[in-house]
Amino acid sequence: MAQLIATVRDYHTISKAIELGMTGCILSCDFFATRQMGYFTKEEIAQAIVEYPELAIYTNINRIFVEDELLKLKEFLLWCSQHNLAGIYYSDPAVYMLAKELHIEDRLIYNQDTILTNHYDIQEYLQLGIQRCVISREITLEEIIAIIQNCGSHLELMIHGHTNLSYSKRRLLTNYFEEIKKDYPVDQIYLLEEESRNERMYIMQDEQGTHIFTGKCLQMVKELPLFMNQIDAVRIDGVFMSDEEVLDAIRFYASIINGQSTDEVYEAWIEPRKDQYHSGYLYTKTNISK
Amino acid sequence: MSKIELLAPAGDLKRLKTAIRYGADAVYIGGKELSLRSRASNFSIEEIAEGVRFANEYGAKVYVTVNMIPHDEDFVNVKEYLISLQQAGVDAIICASLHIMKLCKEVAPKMEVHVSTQQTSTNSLTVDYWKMLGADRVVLAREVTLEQMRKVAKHSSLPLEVFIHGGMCVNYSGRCTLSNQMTLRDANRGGCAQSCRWKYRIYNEQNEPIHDEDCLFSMSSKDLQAASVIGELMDMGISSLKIEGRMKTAYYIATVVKAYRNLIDTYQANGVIAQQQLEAFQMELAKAENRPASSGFYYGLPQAKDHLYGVNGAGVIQDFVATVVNYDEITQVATIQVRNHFTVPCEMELLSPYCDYKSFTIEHLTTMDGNEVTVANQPMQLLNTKIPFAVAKEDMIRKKQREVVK
Repeated sequence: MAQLIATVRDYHTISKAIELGMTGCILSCDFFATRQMGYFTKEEIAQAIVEYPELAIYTNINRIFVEDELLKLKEFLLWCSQHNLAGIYYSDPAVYMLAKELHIEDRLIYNQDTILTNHYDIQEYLQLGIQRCVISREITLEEIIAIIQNCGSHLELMIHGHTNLSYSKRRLLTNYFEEIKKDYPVDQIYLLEEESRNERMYIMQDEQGTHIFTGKCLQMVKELPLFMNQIDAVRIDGVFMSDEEVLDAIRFYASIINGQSTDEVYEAWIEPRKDQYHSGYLYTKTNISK
Repeated sequence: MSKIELLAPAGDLKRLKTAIRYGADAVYIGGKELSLRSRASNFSIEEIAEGVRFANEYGAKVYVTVNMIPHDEDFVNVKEYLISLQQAGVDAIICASLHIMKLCKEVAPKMEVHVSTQQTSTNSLTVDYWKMLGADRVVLAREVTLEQMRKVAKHSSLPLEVFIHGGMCVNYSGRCTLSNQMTLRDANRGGCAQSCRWKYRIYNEQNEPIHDEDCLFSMSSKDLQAASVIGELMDMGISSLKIEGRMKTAYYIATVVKAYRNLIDTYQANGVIAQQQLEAFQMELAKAENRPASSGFYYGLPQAKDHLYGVNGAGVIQDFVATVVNYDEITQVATIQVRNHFTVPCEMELLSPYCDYKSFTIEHLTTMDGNEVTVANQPMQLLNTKIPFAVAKEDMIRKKQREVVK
């Protein structure tokens, strides 16, 4: 049965999320992670490991590192190796090289958002001795199922949340506000709308760059039973969601994992507000040519 | 100082030959399979083999991009394709898929594997990782600054390739699916619609518009032009300097390759580029620009001035007016093929792989029937004119510009 992993905004939400069915939680540190719902200190992560021994606690290292930052990364991985983390998400191969040096590569979870789109590559990455790979979101349900059939269980899938569409190292909000000579704060969430369309997307800027996310929230209520017994973990990413929305998602997905009918859950949860949700590329194939 | 490679793009055989004639040490091209840039007129295996033969005559190399982020369905005949590339004499593939890299080493081991910029390599440990997995070269992400690049190069276990010129993704290459979301065209499989260059309205969380209607938000980046750092890149031991643009014209390739060739050779010979020389090279590069340029990340994070607001796509270069079809050294009459509109008299400049830039004036034009015309306004029309020095077939003629550094 897949672990139900979620992100939370702050420490005191963890116990409530566990009550509702969260079995894994991602607690990430500022600097090493970006695009997170909330950030935690190392002390808080260590405390959570002790306080919630039944909970699988993960940390996310999705920063792209430059040469000068490698020592800091090494120190953090050393700290990770000394604490009982269930896993470490990463996207920069430098994390793998240092984790290998510390003999903790088996805790790593490869989560490069856009690159894990086929079973051939996923098999290669799993052969590096890592714990699992997170399947990219730009593929169809049929392609996801084929990957699961070919790669076994060491896989994870994001099933709920706003999905990251692009990552720039540039400070795109700072630059634009400077161009139009406005003094708007850059540490807030904004919405983008292409001039000829109605659909809006989230845009946020942090120390590591600028990120654009879907305006609608991905949901896989009806699809979850197709893979929840085949893969290690499914994930709810709460960025741009309220605490209540994340807790609702945990409750509803946990109920499906525990055997509740997906139709009932869909009817009660998604149907009344279905304009806010989408199915990503599950049933929509992208084109190769123009 | 070891010899650095000047690596140029080519969308077809004509542009491959242009790039090599004008001084590229290597060219990269797309095959019919697994290549980004679906609009570039990609090469058949036979054309690749012909390109390799031509390149080898000049001592140049040919690399083939196999750089899409593939889905399961894209793996049909990959093994056979890699074998056919090796048989065609290709020197290396530029690749983003780990499986394809390893497969290449297994079934086509004569070819090198170069890790595509799609893999966002920004530090020396990542280079070590690709070495461990069998790669022969790593293309660094465009986001690496000169200062950081120097440190990566110092510790690098593999040869490094860096971008020096051309279009820039505003996002980390390979980490953008805006095109997928907005047009269903897969950015990482050759379908990028360049949605980043579109215009956007921007709202705060209270749904209040905060954009300027006369200057909408855009993520469009100025192009890269790195003439000022070439010497430093050579000193730090970078192996290959890459020009972007498999979809660019032969004129663009000729202009940019020749300018960087001269720049590299000057630095190689003298160990220094004087400010005046640098400005001349930059002025030359500006003649091929269809979008304003900046130094990208080389000197740090791009600022507002490094972005394009209020501009959608690229402009059209109209200074390139004709190519030479034939030249009679006795009569000094050249037959030229018109590419862009011009009127006579017009001050011109010759762009040739065989000589330095030469200026001259076209005073008269006659049709092949002998009729005098004052306007060249029919694309591909053949006209005769007098040129006071020897020119060669396929030399390019452009309007002479006022010499202003951008």
